[in-house]
This record gives sequence, C-alpha cells and structure tokens, in this order.
Amino acid sequence: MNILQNTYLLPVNGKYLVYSPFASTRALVNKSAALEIKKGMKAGAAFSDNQGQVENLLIHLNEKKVLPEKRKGEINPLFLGIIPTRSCNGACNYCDFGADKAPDLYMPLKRAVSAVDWYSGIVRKNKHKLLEIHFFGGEPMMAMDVVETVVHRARFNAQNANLKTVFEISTNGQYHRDKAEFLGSYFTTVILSLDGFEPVQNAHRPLKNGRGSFQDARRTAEIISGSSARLGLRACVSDKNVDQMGKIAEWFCREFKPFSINFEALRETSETSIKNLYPPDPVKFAVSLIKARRICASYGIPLVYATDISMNPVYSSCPVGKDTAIVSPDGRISNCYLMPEKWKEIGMDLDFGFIRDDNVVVIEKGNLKTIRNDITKKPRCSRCFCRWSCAGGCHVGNTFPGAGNDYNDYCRQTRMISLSTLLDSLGMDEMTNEILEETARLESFANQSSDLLMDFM
Amino acid sequence: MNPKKMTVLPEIAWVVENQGILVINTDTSIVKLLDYPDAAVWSVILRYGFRPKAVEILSAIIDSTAKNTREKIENTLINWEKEGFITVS
Ligand code: SF4
Ligand code: SF4
Repeated sequence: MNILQNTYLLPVNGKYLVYSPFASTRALVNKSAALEIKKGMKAGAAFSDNQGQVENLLIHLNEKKVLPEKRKGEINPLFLGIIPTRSCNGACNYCDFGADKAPDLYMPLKRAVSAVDWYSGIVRKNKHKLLEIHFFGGEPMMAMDVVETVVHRARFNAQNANLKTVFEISTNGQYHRDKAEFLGSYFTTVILSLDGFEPVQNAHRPLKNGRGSFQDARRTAEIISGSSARLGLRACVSDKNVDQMGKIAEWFCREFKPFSINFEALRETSETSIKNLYPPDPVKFAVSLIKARRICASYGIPLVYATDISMNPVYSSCPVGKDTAIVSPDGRISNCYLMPEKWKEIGMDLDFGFIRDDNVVVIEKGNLKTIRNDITKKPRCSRCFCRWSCAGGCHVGNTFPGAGNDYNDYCRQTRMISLSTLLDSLGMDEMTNEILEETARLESFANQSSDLLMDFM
Repeated sequence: MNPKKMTVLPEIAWVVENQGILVINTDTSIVKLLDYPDAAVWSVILRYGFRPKAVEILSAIIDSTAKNTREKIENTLINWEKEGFITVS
C-alpha cells in the first residue's frame, strides 16, 4: 500500500486540506505548501529541501499507521446476522428488501439454533469475547419466536463459554408494547425506522392494513428510550422530508434522547417513482445533514451517515467483505441481507454457505474468497478521497461490477458530507459555515474527478 | 401436573441481567439469579404460558425432546413455587 497513492488534497475556500487515511493525518495548508508536500512525498527520505511545518507533516505522512484490514484464511465473521422472516406488516413505499414479494417463510427454530451454535464455536475458537448477533428482515419481530430462541440460546452459550452477548435489531416498531419491552430488556441496540413527523412517516411507511405507522413507531421509540437498550433512530430522506431534517433531528433529540440518529437518502427504484417518491437533491441533503448534525451535537448525540469518514481505513463500509454471516429463513448464508435476486440481477453472488436440512453448516470457501477479493475492486473510487471510508458504499446498489466510473448523486452527497466531517475534525467550523453558504463551490468540489495529491498541479 | 398459568407473586420483581434473570423478593430482599436454562423458562413461560409454542421454543433452546422439555419446565416451576416466586394454577 503506497501512501502517496492514497493521500488526498481537497481544495477548500482557497486553502487545501491534506488527508491521508493510512497515516491518520489531516491538515490545512496553502498552495505552495501543498506543492512542497507533493514533491517531498515523491522524493521520500531523499527530500530535505523543506523546513518547519511542512517537514513535520511529511514525517507524519510517510508513516504508515493503519492499513485497511482484509479478511484471510478461515471465516471470521464481523457478526452473525439472522433474518427470522422476510415477511413484514409494513408496506413502505421505498422498501428495497422485497418484503412484498417475499415468500411467507419463517426460519425453523432448530435452524436458528444451529446458526447460533456454529457462530459461538467460531467465536470460542478465535478466542473472541463477544457473541454479536444482528436481526434483519422483513420485520424480524413478525417471527418473535425465532428472535427469542436466538437470544436465549446465545445467552445460554455465552454463559457456558464465559462470553458477553450483543444483540442489535433493525425494526419498524409496529407491534404491541410487550414485544417492545422484550427488546428493551434483552437488546443492546434497537435501530428503529422513523422518517419524521406523522404526515411524512405515514406517507413513506404505510402499513399493509392501510393504517399509518406513526403512532406505533413513536410508542416503540418511547419504550426503548426508557429501557436499558440503546435507541438508534433511522430516517429515510426523500424530496418530501429533506427540508425538515433539522426539525426532525431536534425532535428526535428532545423527545427520545437516542443513542444515535441516522439519515439516509432514498434510493430511486422503479417502484418509488410509481409512488411519486423521489430522492432528495444531493446538495440539499448534504447541507441539511451537516446542519442537522450540529443540532444533534448540541444535545451530545451523534448523527451518523453510514459511509462517512471512518477512524480506520476500510475496504467496505457495510457487512460485505467482513465475513459477516447473514442467515436467511431458507438457510442460505450470505454477506448481504438483500434478497438474492437483487445481487443476481447485477451478476453478483453474495452467498457463501448454507445450513443443511440436518442443520449442519456448510461454508463454501471459494465463494467467500471471491467476495473478499471482489469488494476491493472499485474503479470509480480510485481517485476519490472517500475510497477508504465510503469504499464504494453499497456494493449491490452503487458500485457493482459494471456500474460505471462516474460519480452519481450518492457519491456527490457522500463527498460533501465527508469533507465537512474532515473540517469539523480539525475544528474548522467557520470554514464549514462558508462552504455551506456557497453551495455552488461545494457542488463543484463534489464533482472533482481526482482528489489525489499526486494529480495536483 | 397439567398447569394452565404461571403467576409471579406481587412481592416479586425481576430484571434481565447479562448472566440471566435476577429475581428479587421485595418483602424479604432475598435475591436469586436464575441462570440458563432456567432464565429461558422464566421468560418463555411468562410470555406464552403453557401453549405448545412454549415447549417448542424451549426444546430448541435447551436442545431436548418435547417430553424432556415438559419435564424440565414442570420441575423448574415446582422449585420456584417452593421458593415463593410464583404460583401455578
Ligand atoms: S467514488 Fe463514490 S462510491 Fe466511490 S468512494 Fe467516492 S463517494 Fe464512495
Ligand atoms: S451490499 Fe448494500 S444492501 Fe448489502 S449489506 Fe452492503 S450496503 Fe447493505
């Protein structure tokens, strides 16, 4: 891994932000210093024609501190994912999980136990201390018996092996109080989908029975907020609620005191257009998110953007490529929680194992290796400063093989948000304010084709 | 034993802990940690009562036959009744 080839220079209001994810370095410099740094890095140790701050910066930049981790050898999952069922009581207008077309299939309890036992065995073998299990859907709580079985079996295994358990669930909150209380008692983190105030929540996320989903989602948020579990609120942002992001963030912070808030922009599909729902304008989304993040910070609550600048460089910003074992109701083990049709459509295969009918787990090592390698090939990202944080974003929806090398709206918004994160990390709030005022410049930055220091002239 | 309902006595409070379920007698301040598999019996029977679903879930959790699971449930409940945590009707 060459540091120079992974060091970036980002123009911000007449200055330049030097960013090296591998050397964990960020600094604001002027143009002549930027050129010196480029010269110095190219020359390596032989370069001694610089003084003072540039020299210090060069020392930092030439030091590799953290490299992205690539899984090798035996499977070592980031966590175990369980999809108890693909069924859902919701009928969200932007659902990408195929809940409406999903077979009414529930994971047999013995299969769920096999998955937990297999994963517990790996955790013990690798001498890890945590059994970490995440639930996805459909709506996982539609198969409450599977959730309970997994939770208790994992706790039982943890007791026998002196491990700790971590449970996380992504849920719509559409169930009775007692189910929400179960989550509050047994779960570490509950990520609840709530898109904002009542009109937008009900317009985005109607239920199958025709009712709105706001009242139950709000009640579940209140229950989790008052429990020992951490509440994460996740809002999908469309053209309908992009202008309310600040108000939504403020309301979330005041009313529910969540552990974290996450805003994601709606992804356009043929179904969303039929429902008259469109993604937000990327500049509007990025600017509103940056402003909302400040509101949340004033409450001491982090506003998270999934593919934002990360502390450590990564090959993937999602579960894919991290050996994450996500078990479907039919027993397939995959790296991604989407319906397989989604990735098959674009020529990908994210399955790498299955649980046989006799409940034996089979891992297809060849597939696992292919997935680990394929996610490192991201031609579109090779000159983008988000290469080692966003790392291509969704491998299925954004940077799949053949997706094209031009930035799309997702890239543009990620680049704008990530730039502001870097400036904030340097305490350059004033500079962030300036770029928020001059959205034309921000947009032109978002379109810049190369951020590499070595391309700078 | 053909139980219909497990009722936690009014003076008994309980809370989910990392290691199991902590049962507290608020009159006597006697505290008992139910570890696994008993913690699962407590949680599942409280939710499902004695419906077949409870036996199905518990037999998956403790990896046992339905018959042995039923026995396990019965013995556990007898102990809890003796300890003054619950009544079974
Ligand atoms: S090019 Fe787009 S997908 Fe790739 S890292 Fe940059 S923002 Fe992410
Ligand atoms: S590939 Fe896309 S859908 Fe699959 S886990 Fe990653 S971000 Fe999620």
